[in-house]
Amino acid sequence: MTAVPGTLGRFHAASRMEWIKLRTLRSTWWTLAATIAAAAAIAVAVGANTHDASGDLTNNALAGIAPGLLLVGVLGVLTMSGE
Amino acid sequence: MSSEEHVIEVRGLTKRYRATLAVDALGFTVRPGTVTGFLGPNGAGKSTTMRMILGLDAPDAGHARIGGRRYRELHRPLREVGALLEAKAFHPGRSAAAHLTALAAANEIPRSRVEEVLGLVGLTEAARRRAGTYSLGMAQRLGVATALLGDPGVLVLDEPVNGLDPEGIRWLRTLLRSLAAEGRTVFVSSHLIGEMALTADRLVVIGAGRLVADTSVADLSARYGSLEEAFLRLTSASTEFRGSSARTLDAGERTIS
Repeated sequence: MTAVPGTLGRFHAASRMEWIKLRTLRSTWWTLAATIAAAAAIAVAVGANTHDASGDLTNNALAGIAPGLLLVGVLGVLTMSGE
Repeated sequence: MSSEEHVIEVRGLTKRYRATLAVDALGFTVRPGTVTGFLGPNGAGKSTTMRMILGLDAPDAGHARIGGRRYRELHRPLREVGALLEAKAFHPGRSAAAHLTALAAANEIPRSRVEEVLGLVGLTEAARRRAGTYSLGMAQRLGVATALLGDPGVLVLDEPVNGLDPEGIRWLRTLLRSLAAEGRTVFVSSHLIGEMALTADRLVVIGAGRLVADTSVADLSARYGSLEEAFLRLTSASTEFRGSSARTLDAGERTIS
């Protein structure tokens, strides 16, 4: 890419394109929905199975975040490989 | 539109794939205001030449320039050159409208142009459907819409007629002729001679990567009796794929595979 005036403008334009491309695929929304559902479901399951009063509530509630991150990784792969 | 900046110049263009010389010192000029057909048998090097004009393949020698510049030197390529190389060059999960809107955003083309080109190619009804569900003809129409998105002065279309029904073929012919009449450069490849005879004013004919004719349709058909005859004679020495029985038929009956 040549450095013509408006390189920043070009970056902005390219970002807008990528955003449109991302949000116009159904798989994007499925993956995001699955991420949120999985994170919440795991948090609930872990919480429900903790009967120890000394349990770390915050840690339990965030137990689903790691699997959620994996699903966001899947979204990244889908975005890149769709090109 | 000034005409000089819309001229496609190909000079000494050469591309080699290992032992095969795909394009061999090819030279021709495509001018604005007319539809120029690019003819040649399968494997003659048409697509390779178009890819080099569009900067997608690097030539081993020679150059291709548009308005005196190489494609990669163009400031706003999509607004200067519209191209159709493959019918299905889009994500199957994205709708035609989304595909065009994304490209418009990247090239700072107003969003209203998306609806405009969708109307121009007759895809308004199907614009919100996922493009993977399109027929080949509809995919070609989306390809044409993509090429026209930036309202470019130069159009390079590789086999746009493929997959179109008779109504679609007539539509494309009328469209290309009117785009040329507006002063644009229209360069269209095909192996359908009959269709080119109706669409193009000028013809660039290649065989085995070499230029065999660069002339007007009228001149070529007058000299050989018919355009088909001209095509078969000119490319007979270089046709790569030929049915085994072809040698026993005369030139006029020979079929191009």
